[in-house]
Amino acid sequence: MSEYLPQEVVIQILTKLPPKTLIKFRCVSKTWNSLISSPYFISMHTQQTLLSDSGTNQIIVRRYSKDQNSEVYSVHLDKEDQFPDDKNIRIEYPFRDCIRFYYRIVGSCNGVFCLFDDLFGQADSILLWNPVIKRKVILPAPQASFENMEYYMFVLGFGFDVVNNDYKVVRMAYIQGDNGYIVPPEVEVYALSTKNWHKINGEVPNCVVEYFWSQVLINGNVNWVAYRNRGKEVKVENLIMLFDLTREVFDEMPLPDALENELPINLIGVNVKGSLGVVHYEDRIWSMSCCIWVMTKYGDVKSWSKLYYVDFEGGPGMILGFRTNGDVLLSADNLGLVSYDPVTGKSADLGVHGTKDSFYASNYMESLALLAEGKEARERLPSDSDGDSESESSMEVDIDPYGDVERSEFWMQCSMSQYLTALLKRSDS
Amino acid sequence: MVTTDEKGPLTAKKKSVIIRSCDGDEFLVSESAAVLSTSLKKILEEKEDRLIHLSDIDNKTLAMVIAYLSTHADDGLSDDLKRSFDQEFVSGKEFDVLKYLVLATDTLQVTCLCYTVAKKMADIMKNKLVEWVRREFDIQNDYTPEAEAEIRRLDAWAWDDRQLEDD
Repeated sequence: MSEYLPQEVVIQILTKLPPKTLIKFRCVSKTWNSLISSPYFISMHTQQTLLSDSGTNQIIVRRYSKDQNSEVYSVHLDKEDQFPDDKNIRIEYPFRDCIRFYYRIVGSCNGVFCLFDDLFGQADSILLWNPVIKRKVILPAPQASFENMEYYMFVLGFGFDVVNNDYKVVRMAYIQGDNGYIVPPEVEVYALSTKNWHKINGEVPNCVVEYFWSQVLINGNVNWVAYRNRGKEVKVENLIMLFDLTREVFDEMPLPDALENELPINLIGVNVKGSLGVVHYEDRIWSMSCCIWVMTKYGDVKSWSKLYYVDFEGGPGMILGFRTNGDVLLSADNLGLVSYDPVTGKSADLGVHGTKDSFYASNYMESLALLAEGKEARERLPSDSDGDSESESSMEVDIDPYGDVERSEFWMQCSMSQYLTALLKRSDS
Repeated sequence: MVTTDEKGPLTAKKKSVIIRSCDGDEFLVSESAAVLSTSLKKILEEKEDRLIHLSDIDNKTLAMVIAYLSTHADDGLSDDLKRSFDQEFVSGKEFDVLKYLVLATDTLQVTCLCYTVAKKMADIMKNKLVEWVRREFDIQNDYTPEAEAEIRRLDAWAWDDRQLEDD
């Protein structure tokens, strides 16, 4: 009997190894290197991880730490009554000097993050990042360019097109007119396989996604809460706008009646254990409580149900997602990350601290995505800077040169809230 | 259930099959166990013959695969018991033995066992040196020393934090 293992058997074995080990095993031979780096192997590896336990019990948390003046990422094991750090994964944050405070996380999928720098200033860079293999792809500028960027708002969506085995980013650019944002927006789609943006053929809905959008990825569709400015009779009509990443077409779905005419800034999309959910805040900035509506059967409008009520107790909070034990993950002022049991109303401090609005949490799995396309993304510590004297002097300055992060977060929310309220009142009169 | 006849040469009773390894030994297997292998199922559908000769699976490996198939064909065992049998089945086995097993499960197309064995092999490989992998998989290093050093340099972080084993 020959000891030779056929390639499909080798693939069976290698797809069960963690990305870090596979990065090393590219050194075994040229054949193994090209196998491990091939899109076929990477997608087999991703599927294998999705099927295994490790694809379902990890949660990644991002927040901005004022002590470190930096974003911090950590991966946690989502166990029944514990939430420990995953000791096997330490995430280096490579973009410390690239951004004021922190990025907006457009979304994450198969271990890849899509980051956008529009939260604290002018939007000009979008990037894809796979932290576990330290690879990034900086997206080129979209074809539609605007002379004065300040009068535009950009809404993005990110996900994986399963049919074409491709990561895609959709960008909607809204021009700000006198009576609100002009619809329809200009739309372009970036595909990692072509490394470029292209226009789409289908129709774009005449609605606006609110500035504090957060996407929910369900069944290869990116979903956002959007609104339509109805003019005189009804102030505003809220709805779900969605983009099919494979067919590259938009669609829309109604929200439950109770949410249809709410101020758009108080509604945010959330992933509720794989279902589309919408958080309804009493008031986006000062909310002490919220309700969560869930479309229990995706696509079936009759299945919208109000399933959760969350009391933030201590102060304003923000819903981040759900744990496998049914608890709600949320960030609260002064407390940081909290696990809230919606049945008993009890909450537990998880000991992860950062500014309230900077928190992001989602299911996580390690993958090899971007291995071939990406450039190296390594952490740059202050000690890496070239001149010794320079780093010493920057150590002495212990204040944030841009001002306080929480004040900036608050200011952004207030101004958007005021803008929307004024806009919708005006069209009402 | 598997029944073996100690006295004379094996004869296939109704609903059972004889499988012969490349060493010439014969194993009596119930048909319900044999058809868990997609390849054996196909052979049985195509011909009446109750004797199947496997020219590239040795005695030791075949006996293990048959033990697995018989356990999984036993309706009296719960899924939990079968799962713990699977864990027990691969635990403590040498990498060499697992190689023969994974190859046999690939030939016989026993998907579940192939997964279990491949997973066990991956667990063993996880903390091994590149040199160990080359030895076990009988792979010639076709890099020049410079080219290999360059790949190691580009992702140096992947090597930095753990003690790797060479045996």
